[in-house]
Amino acid sequence: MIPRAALSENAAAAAMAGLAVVAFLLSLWIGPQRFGLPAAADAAHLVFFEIRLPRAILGFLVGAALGTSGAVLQGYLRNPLAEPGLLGISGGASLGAVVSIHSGLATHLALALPLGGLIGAGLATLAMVGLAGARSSPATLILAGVAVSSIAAALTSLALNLSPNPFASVEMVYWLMGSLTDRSLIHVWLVAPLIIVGLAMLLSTSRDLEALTLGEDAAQNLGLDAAGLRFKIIAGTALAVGGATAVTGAIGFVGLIVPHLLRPFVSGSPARLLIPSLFGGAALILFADVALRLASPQADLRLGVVTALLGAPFFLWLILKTRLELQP
Amino acid sequence: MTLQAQNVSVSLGGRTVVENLSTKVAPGELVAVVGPNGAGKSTALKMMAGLLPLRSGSVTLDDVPLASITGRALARRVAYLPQDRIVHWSLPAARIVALGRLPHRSFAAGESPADRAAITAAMARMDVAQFADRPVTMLSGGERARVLVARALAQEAQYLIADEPAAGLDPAHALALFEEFSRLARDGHGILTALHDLSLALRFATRVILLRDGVCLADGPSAQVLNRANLASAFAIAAIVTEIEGIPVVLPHATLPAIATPA
Repeated sequence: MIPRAALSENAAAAAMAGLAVVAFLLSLWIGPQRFGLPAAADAAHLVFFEIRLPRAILGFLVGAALGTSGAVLQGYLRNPLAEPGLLGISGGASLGAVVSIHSGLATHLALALPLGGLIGAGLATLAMVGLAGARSSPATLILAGVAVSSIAAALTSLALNLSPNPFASVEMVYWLMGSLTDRSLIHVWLVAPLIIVGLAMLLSTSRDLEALTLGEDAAQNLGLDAAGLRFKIIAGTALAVGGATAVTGAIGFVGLIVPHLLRPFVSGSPARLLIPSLFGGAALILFADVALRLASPQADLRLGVVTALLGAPFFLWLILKTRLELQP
Repeated sequence: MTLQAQNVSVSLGGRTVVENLSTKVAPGELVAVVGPNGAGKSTALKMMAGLLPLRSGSVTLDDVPLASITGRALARRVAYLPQDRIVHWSLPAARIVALGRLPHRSFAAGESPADRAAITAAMARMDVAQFADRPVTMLSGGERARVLVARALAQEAQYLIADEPAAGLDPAHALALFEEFSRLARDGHGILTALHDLSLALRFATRVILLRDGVCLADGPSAQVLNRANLASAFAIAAIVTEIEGIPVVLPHATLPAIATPA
């Protein structure tokens, strides 16, 4: 019985990895103006290395961060509605980026935006940990995260409200919607190490998450180190999601939908959900990014808007499914 | 070679739940913890499993304090089965039982033949092999309880601490469970279990710890502890303790006015 189940679970990871690779290649091949690359060698080089490659790499990393963090948080909190934004880290990153636009730093220094986002994510993480306390339970962690998210959202609104000029307002609003447009390889170098370290920490929680299936007492009896697990989850999410949000803005629903959709394919196992969610998140972001380039080459449709448009119907489907399951 | 508590007190939320408890479980013993609701049975069991901070006293395994044994090393020697039968995700039953092997596996290692053998044996003993592929959330309460006991058995620890493992089991499976516990004890395991079925305790336990209000009223061979006077003072019940066709039976038949807690 176990080998067959294991086969289908590895199949889920392999299928998602394949999907992510296809999405990555499509992202390299399809631009807003044309398929393939410009005929002239110089232009082709420029488009490939300055535009398409950073965009595809960032899409992969950001999707991987959101998918993995969503799967880890759902397993840790044992709640299928948990998502990466819950800890307040992406809210902090958004606030940091908005402040760097508001202060005018972003106009002078291109990297001020992502750096502001990273500082915001770091401060939000510290505030959240400070609020929750050293020996916090998952429940207090959520409460602290919600509190930090609310404060960050309020301050973000304040920054918008007090915007120095309309251009800055537009820039902030656009940034908050989330996008992969016009990111360079410098952005990749800035956040790739953070996201990769964060992902490694998140993936290392798998067996603890599996043990938590039986509740905290049984998990502790199975050798769970509660403090170590909490550290890996908070630090891993801070690095991966904080890094991702700092370069792309907040992109919702990916971390919620992807683990949820993949869970049946790994027979509910929170540990075996992690790798498929990593690739599934990457595939979803890359496909959404390709789709928006095809759908509106001119309109500059924002990635966060597209994922939200995908996410809302997903909730409707979830409600209908739950209703059907509850019917006798 | 014992799991031993010495003068242990435990407070939860500022309230003393277990007071100055000294007891032990040795290999070969099947020790039953009995007492009314709120007597501190579950707390006593968790404390013996090393899951609670102690206010005073010590719990030791072969004279080594539990607090100084790392999580996984302790997990290989003491298995704990909580009272609440939580399963958060709809994992297949075989995967739930396989969780008992986590302390035996290094991080990336897959299941070894020894793991698979332990899982198969535990599932056979608890009569749950036929549920192997079924999501555990789809099983009945009693079936799920048996799957969870199988998880604890698969852990293959020398000591097994089980909090009301028989609650909700049908008579056949409850009997089978205690016969299994007796067999494990004979094989050199130490079993500590809380239960409310006093007849099962009288019949199967080699020793009984009687708790009330966090205090140990009696600790000794089951036939000595489970007598009328002790049952009256612990549970405020009048009970007939007898043997029917050679089977020891405790039959509570009337409630008594509650006896004031001794000061």
